[in-house]
Amino acid sequence: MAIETRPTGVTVRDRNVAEQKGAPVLTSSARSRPVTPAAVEADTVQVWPHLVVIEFLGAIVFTIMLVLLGTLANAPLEPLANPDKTPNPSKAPWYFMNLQELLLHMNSALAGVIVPTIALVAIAAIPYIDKGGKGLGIWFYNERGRRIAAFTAVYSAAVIGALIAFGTLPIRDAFGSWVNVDTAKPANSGGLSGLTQLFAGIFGDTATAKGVLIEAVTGWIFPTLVMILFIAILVVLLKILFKGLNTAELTIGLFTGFFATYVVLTFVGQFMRGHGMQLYPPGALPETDYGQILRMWGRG
Amino acid sequence: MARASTPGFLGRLPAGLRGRLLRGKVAGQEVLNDVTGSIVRNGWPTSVRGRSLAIMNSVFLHLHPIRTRPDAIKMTYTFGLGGISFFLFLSLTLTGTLLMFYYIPSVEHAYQTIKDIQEQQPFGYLLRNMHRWAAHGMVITVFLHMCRVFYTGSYRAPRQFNWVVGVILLALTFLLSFTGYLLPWDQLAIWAVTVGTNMVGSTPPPFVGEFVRFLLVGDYSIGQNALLRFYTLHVIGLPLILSIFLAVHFWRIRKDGFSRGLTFTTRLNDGSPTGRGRG
Repeated sequence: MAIETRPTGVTVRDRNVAEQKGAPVLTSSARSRPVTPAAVEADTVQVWPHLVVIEFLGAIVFTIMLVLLGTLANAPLEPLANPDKTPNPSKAPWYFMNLQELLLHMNSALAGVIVPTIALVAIAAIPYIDKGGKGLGIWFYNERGRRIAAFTAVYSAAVIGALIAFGTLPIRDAFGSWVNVDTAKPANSGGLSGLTQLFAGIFGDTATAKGVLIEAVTGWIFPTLVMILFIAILVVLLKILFKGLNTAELTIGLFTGFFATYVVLTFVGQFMRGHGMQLYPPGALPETDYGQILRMWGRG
Repeated sequence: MARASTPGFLGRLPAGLRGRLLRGKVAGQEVLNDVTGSIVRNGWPTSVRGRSLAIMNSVFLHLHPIRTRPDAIKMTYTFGLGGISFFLFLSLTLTGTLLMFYYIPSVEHAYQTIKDIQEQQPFGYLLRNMHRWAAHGMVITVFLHMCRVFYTGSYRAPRQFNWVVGVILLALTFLLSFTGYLLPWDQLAIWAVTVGTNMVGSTPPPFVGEFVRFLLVGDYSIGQNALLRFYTLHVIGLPLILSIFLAVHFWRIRKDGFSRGLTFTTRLNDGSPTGRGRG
């Protein structure tokens, strides 16, 4: 009996450390209840059998499911690799299609490296930013957290959807005509041709300056501003809609924004981009372009 | 009367032979008990103490606490996502090892060995399918596991570092899946990996990106070097690193406690947990 009644957990030292860090250890009402072996026993169940059984059954169920799936659906195998024959479109694995979708809207370094790195580092940093001890072990922190998550999911999906639609407009061409310099007929030059001529002083000729300007503005500056703007709008909206928004609730909002963005970008990239990475309605991808998903169910 | 005390086949035998057989049976049982007792030292647990020992004395089970709160093992709390991810990792290790028996990581043979696995080897198609679907599944479950941990606030003190380890494990899962993507050496494989490595190659400034891409691919385009590097990373490099982080991850769950683990009181009225989880 000595073994199972011995609390395996909180030692006095641990409690002090945790309390110094501001984590709630035992609240006043909890303290009023003495931590006796009997209290421990009343509050808990034995891992054998209660948890071990779940794990065992889970392993069996998932083994069966995996074997069934492996029997019913075949892994895709396309023709032998041919470095001379580029498929149109060429797509990354589906979990990177969110990045490939971003790639269509901004400079490749921004989309493929900088944004995902910032996202990963920001996610890893969450516990060092949201340091409160409340809400531990509770889904969505509290009832408000649930509504914050729902609101942000809808907001982010709508914004990303709108931005993807906006991305179908010929933004680069439009900006290109603004910074165009027509030496033969100066009147035909774009409204921002002065800028191009200014930069031509640095880059030597107007053609190079124009290219650099287009990439800098449409590839870097504009997308960065758009990303910052819509995140800022989200934060402001959350602060207005949810008075007294605390760090934990704000974190829920921002993470949900990331989650919804990830899902929408992945879905659009995987299921709505066809020939030339053009936008198609879901399910209408031409078979010749990217029938991987459809072919999954057939042999070979 | 001796006949009546040992009924059946043994009862009909002469007393001397019967005695020898019975002694043999007892001796056999003793040997069996010795062997099984040496493997599982506590026998089938039937008491509270026995169940505790069953957890403590098993290398596979001892990462568990002996007792836990019913809340912590409710399916609607964790959805078992971490456990499912680990299960898929084990399945991938098993099916992957079997696939390695047949697969040859060379540009000349890779595609053909995949075809051979599917068409010539017994259960080869099933093996490859299971590996493929488990790989996709693991990316999904690891990602969802991260979401579960986030939305239940389970990254809070003292689990900050384990959350970071989890993010690293997510990245490693992506990399494992991505390196495996190239191995069939079909059109899907090389072009998906070309797209992916080009993304890596865009790391600013350009010479850094080009260097990182070259390090990964070992050439200016996806060829034999890339295949061998991806293969090596896929079958030994990344699984080894992932296993180390996995060990730390599990160890820290145990040391930091389940977010709804062993606490000594029930919840407060406002729904906040009263104690630091400790499992």
